[in-house]
Amino acid sequence: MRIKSPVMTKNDDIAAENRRAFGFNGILAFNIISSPGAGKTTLLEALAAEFGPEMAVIEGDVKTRRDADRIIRAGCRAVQIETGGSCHLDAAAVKEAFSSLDKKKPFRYLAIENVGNLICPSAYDLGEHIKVGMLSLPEGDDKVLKYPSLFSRIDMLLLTKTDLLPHMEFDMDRVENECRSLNPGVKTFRISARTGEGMADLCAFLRGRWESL
Amino acid sequence: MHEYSLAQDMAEVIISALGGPRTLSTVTVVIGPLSGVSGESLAFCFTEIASARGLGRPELVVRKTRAEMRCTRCGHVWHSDDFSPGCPACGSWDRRIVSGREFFVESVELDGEDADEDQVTSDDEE
Repeated sequence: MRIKSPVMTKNDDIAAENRRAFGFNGILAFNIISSPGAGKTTLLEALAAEFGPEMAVIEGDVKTRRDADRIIRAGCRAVQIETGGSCHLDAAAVKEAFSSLDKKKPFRYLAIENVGNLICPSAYDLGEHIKVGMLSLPEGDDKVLKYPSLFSRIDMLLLTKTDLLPHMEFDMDRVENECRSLNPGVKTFRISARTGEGMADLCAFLRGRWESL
Repeated sequence: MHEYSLAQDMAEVIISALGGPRTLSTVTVVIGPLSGVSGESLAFCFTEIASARGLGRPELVVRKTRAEMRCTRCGHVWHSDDFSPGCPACGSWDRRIVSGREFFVESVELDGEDADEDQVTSDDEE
């Protein structure tokens, strides 16, 4: 018996709803995917210092509210999703978290910090405008072609912890070139949330994308 | 392993297409090489999830496709089982992925008495 039904239809339909809701509210949404410890939350703390109440954050982790608490301390609203074991966020979880954010206090940017994992989150559209792949220098410069499902789908590549470059052998050109080999249109930034290197360019890019919504 | 979640989604897609749970002998799924889905991991958990959802204990048949890519520089079209790094004709990285991310339930076979009952089909697009 022929069925021929895409398995991701339900998620993709909810993701499309999310995208419409973000657009209706004048919000630019970005979904940050990396391995654990790459610096997602530290980057968001740095963005919180720049954007303040203009940004809200949905945090995804298997357990604890630690990341949401950090973001709130940094000056932004944050909602924590505890997946309870699941290795990725899906569009339904993001829809529920977004609905809990008070839209009467408007914001421009919605950052979604996915569960730390370079594989599973790549398959799920959450409704974001920008899918961000992040790779930190201590992870090594050979990771792009090892995890092609993620790096072929992203709109933006962030190389993070660039302040550590003097202490390690890491070829940033190699990473960017390999990412472009999978994904010719990818936008790349080299940043250190700790020193601020590259942060002005990243913030300017996000402001430009918001203005062109 | 997101295949556990995907197996649950598969069961839901099948039940929706059949109008309710039916006992199945086989489920055939199509997986593209760029979909990020492991057929082996899916097979590991699908039968148990199907059983828990009232679909019997169907065998999962995985049909793997090849990806199609088109070079936007020279127009060359080629097929690949993975993310090959560039155009084999001109070496350019500027290529468009035409297909290869597909992941869909292609067909099911009803088991035993269920097979004798009226069949239900869905024409959802790929």
